[in-house]
Amino acid sequence: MEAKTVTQAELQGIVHGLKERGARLITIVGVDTGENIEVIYFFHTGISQTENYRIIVPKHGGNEEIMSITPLIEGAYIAENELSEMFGVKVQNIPGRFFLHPSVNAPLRRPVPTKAKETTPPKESAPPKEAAP
Amino acid sequence: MRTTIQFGPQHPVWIEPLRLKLTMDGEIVQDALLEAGYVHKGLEKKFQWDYNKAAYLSERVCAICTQHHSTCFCLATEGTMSLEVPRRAQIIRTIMLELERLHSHFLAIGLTLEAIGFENLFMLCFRDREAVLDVFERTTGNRVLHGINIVGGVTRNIGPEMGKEILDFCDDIEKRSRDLEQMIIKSYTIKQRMQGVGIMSEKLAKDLCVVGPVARGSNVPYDVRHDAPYLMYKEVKVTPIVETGGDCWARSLVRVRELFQSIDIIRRLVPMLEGTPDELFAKSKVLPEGESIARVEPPRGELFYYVKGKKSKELDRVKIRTSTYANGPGIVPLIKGSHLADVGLITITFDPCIGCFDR
Repeated sequence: MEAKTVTQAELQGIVHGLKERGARLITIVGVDTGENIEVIYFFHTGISQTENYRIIVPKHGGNEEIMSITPLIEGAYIAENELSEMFGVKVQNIPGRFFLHPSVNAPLRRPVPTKAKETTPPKESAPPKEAAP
Repeated sequence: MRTTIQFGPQHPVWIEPLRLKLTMDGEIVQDALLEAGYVHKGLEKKFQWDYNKAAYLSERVCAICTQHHSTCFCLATEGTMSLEVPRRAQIIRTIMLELERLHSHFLAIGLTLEAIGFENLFMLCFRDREAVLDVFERTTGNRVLHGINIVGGVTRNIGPEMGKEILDFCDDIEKRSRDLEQMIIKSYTIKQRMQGVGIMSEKLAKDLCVVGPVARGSNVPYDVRHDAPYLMYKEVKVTPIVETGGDCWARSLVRVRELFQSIDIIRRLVPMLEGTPDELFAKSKVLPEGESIARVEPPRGELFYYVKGKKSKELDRVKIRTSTYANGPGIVPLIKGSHLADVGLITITFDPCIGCFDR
């Protein structure tokens, strides 16, 4: 199975072109490789032909965000929701909940290997608590 | 006056739990919200334990399409090992897939007729379905979960006597299907109840990427057996059965016509067993490595498995995209604007499998 690695911006243009050519979205698959989350888009383009595109999303402590393709292909709605709830990757303008209860968070997300720690954005230091009078 | 009606999660029209929150204006559905996940079992995670045992597990995703699930999983896993399955195993797998389509379509047609009040025809469909289950019992030893697929081939052979028995069964079930077809097509009541209800246009079907009889009922000739042939479908050519109406009648008619298509395919497959070496299984010398995908065409529409191996008996990732998962987005647009009395009928013509949907 071959999947061409592209950027998110490139993917939007590709999906637009595929839709114009009459391609069908098969599904979207998320894979956690430890350091990154890979999102693979599978399209049926003709008899025995598929085109597969992969975007690589580096982990940022659960603050990852990708662009949605649902505005271009409505059939992607459930797959993008599932990707979001299973891997904790936010998909723009998608609720991110479909199958799982809100108490369950990203069950398919793996911890980052110790060699490559997640690049967590700096947090603002909390103000010191005031002593009770 | 607007009212909200909870349609499900427990509703007699579906066997499994699914919830529709309907906003009504009188009898007309103004808005609908689909809620799933009531039988989410986290199976994709469980698939990672052992690729040999996962074939057994894949049958448990859906009790109706068990053979399709295990075949699709095995094809994807065999892809990660570049394993060539013996021809006889491919023929047996394909026969089983078509038998499964028969019993699933009898179930779907029966449930659709029951949803509009024809309990008598529902019973007839189930009587015919029992005949298919009997063949499963004779060939695999099991009526529902067949358990004959393993990575590399199958565990049960179909000998000459059984082959003849299957051909005799084809004659019998063709006659029964023809009777059923005539009863449905000639029934003024069934036609009037279904025609023009829950219309999915060709454009909407393409936009939503729906699959199976839902797509083919809307004039979208998408059938994986034709569009991405696998197993014996590379030799036994299949032409997608298409209806143009897009309504409940068209979706049901596709299923009725596919009964005869499946019988025809089985008739062409059984003679292929003659003279084919009795090899049922190929053993792999390597463990699953890399990524592979497989697609098959279950009775409800395209099924997709993605398997990623890591050179161990455990798998790195398995993703299942089932037919109902693909058809799910089509339910809400169709029931918007329909009568409350049609909601059950429209959804049942999707032949929803909630176990597949949630996994």
